[in-house]
Amino acid sequence: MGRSSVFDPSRLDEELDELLPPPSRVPVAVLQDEPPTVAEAAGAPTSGSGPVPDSAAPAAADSVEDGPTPDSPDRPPHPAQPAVATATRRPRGSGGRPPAQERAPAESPSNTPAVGGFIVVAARIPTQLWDAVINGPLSGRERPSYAQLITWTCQDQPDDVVRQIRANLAPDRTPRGRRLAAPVNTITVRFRHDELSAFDELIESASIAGQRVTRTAGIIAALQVSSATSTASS
Amino acid sequence: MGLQYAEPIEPVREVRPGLDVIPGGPLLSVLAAAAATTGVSLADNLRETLSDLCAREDYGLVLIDSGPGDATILDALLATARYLVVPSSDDSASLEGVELLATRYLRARKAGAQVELLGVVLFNANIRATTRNQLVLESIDQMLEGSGATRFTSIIRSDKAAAIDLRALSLTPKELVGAAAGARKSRLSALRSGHSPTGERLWSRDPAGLATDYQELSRELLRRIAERERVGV
Repeated sequence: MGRSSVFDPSRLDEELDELLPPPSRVPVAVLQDEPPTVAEAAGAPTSGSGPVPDSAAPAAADSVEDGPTPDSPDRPPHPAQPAVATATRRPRGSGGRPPAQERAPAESPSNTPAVGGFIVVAARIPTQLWDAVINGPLSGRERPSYAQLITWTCQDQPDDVVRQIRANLAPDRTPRGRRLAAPVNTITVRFRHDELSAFDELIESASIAGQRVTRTAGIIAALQVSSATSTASS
Repeated sequence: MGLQYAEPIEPVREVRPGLDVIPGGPLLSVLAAAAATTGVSLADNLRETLSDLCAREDYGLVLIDSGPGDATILDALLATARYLVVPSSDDSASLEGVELLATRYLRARKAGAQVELLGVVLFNANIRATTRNQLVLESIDQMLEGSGATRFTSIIRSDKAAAIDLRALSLTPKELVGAAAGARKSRLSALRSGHSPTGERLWSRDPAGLATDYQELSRELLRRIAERERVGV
């Protein structure tokens, strides 16, 4: 599954012309006027098929094979020989996050995927809650990640979070039989190891009579508390 | 005609409130061959006609839905568009298609195009296959390294029944949610009263999930465009 960084502009000087036949037209001139805002989508999401290898470049399509290859951090790997992901890969430039070596090592529980030093926990939360969070505590231009928001809420209002978890898990008359689907949003919460440990500890303490509290329940409760606090303070 | 002869484009107006559509038409498939023989610059024509159209109609956003196969048209679009969104399915052929598109994208930029990659979105995926999706998303992350773009967090789920209904009824996913609920009600009431259900049969039972996916993607897409535009101001 290893893939090379094919969108990396540093490929421009090294390999690009070898991969594609020359363009059918003369090179495009730089736009003189401000172009209209155009988002170009290659392949319709509704069409049921994704980008497929282009018949105009059969040589390139044929040359793409899977398999690890030695990779140097100074030189981007050749797309025909995808490199395996290593610890030396370059940061993806996402929003000022510290480089990988400064982050906590990925020591994740075996059932949770760890990506780049973070432990990713996916949770489905009601769309209404998601809207409240996005328009509440996460509405600023500079905003924390989901994991930070949840961790801070658990640190600042642990009692409220535990109370909310217990309230959510209290027996009610929601039918367990056939139910209509409700709109939900899937969020991926990227915890650091210490954040997840503290979070797991808190949700365990919310358990009553050995009832298991899932991380999803904890995430939903923390976001509800955070969103309610944000509404109350605004 | 707009691409080949730079003739003014006439959109189909108000297919939904605030939305005009320009259908590609069957001649689009032969356009590339015609352009190659006549030496027409599709990019120049497209830029000119699109620029006129936007000035005339005062559009806020133009979305171009292109097929992945036609390289000549794709190059013209890359030379014209401001942003690029790449949908990919979870199979290796799709991911290899993304790699090829990446090469075309970089070459267009090298030639002076202003197109910027907004991200790659995983679609037509089984959202319950979490482990498989995680591997595919990691592959996409690896492909995007060094590009300055990240993948979209939204995933468009696979829903064949909804896809059939959407095409057959020309509805948006959001509209299909209401239509499916209405159809279910009338079907049940017909069965209750001992009659055979009438009217058009819908295959989808609950397209709410798919509609949510698209809404989430739209929100994310618009947010990314707004961020880029803000930076560009």
